[in-house]
Amino acid sequence: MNRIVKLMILLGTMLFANVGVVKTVEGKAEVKRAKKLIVLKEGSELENGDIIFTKEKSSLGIMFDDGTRISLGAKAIFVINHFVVKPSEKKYDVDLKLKKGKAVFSSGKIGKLSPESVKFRIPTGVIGIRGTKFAVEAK
Amino acid sequence: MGFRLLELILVIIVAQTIYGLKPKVAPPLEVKKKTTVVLLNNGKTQNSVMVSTQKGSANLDKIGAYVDMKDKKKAPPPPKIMPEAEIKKRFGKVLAAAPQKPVSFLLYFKPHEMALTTASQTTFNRAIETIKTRSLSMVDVIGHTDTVGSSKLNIDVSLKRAKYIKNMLSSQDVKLLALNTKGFGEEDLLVKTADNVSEPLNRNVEIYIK
Repeated sequence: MNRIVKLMILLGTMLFANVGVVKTVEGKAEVKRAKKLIVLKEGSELENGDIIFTKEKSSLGIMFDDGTRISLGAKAIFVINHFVVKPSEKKYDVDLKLKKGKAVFSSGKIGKLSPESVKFRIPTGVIGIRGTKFAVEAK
Repeated sequence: MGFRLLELILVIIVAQTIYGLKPKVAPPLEVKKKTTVVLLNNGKTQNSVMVSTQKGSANLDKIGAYVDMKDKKKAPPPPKIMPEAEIKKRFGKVLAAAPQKPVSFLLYFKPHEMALTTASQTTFNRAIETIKTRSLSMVDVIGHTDTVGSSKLNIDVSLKRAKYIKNMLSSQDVKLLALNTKGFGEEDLLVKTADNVSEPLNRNVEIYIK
């Protein structure tokens, strides 16, 4: 029983934990969450599953938990499918989607820790980040 | 920032425009979409992305390299180079909306003591000044260790040091959006080593201002 409760808490935090914060807003941007539209402001928290819309002549800058930055141009539709970067648990899963509009992506810690876990989806396919390769010999 | 030698930050621009006419009657014709992906300068040597459709991939590894794609069922064309002026014209506004780049400060402890070295005390003060000059920030205090001992023990030790630094930060007169401690333990080593290698440079606490 205890184990089930723990699992539910874990699932809850995975589903609803905030994964990023809005740092810049110009014009108007909204997030669709649980079938509701919420206006985004500087400091607004973002969650897994959020669908973000920017209006005409608007832009938005997001800082994700690991330092990854994404900015969106006007009339963009952007989906945060998953953003999980938990080095202490070795859990990495970044799955984002730009459905429409313009975006600039700069990777944070994930780019060093687990670049292969990043999927940035676009209408024609998917963008992957190439990882850093190295070898170690210790005597 | 010289510390973050291996950090891979890459920048991708994705632009997409939809063109074509939507039919007024069913069945709908397929709307053709064009997607452009451009690799931007991240100031690092490691910077590349792989763009894949259902039929193939293109590797963008030069600054300004881009592909235009219209069909997910066709392989992307070979990359071309987009002139800087065009990048600015098409993506200038989006680039301007990007949040400030995060910065890191690394702090070292005196041996066998829960106290910072003199040099790191100065670094700590610099971190505070940086927080004050940036827009409202979130701060992660991340404990790193070397690879000696068990992973679990290392995370515990790194968390203890991180909490010590968090308390130091809390006692300062700075406004923050969030302040969290994290124990990375052996993940994200500053100096990459094999297991069970004593490396003092890896035993640090990072103040990550984002």
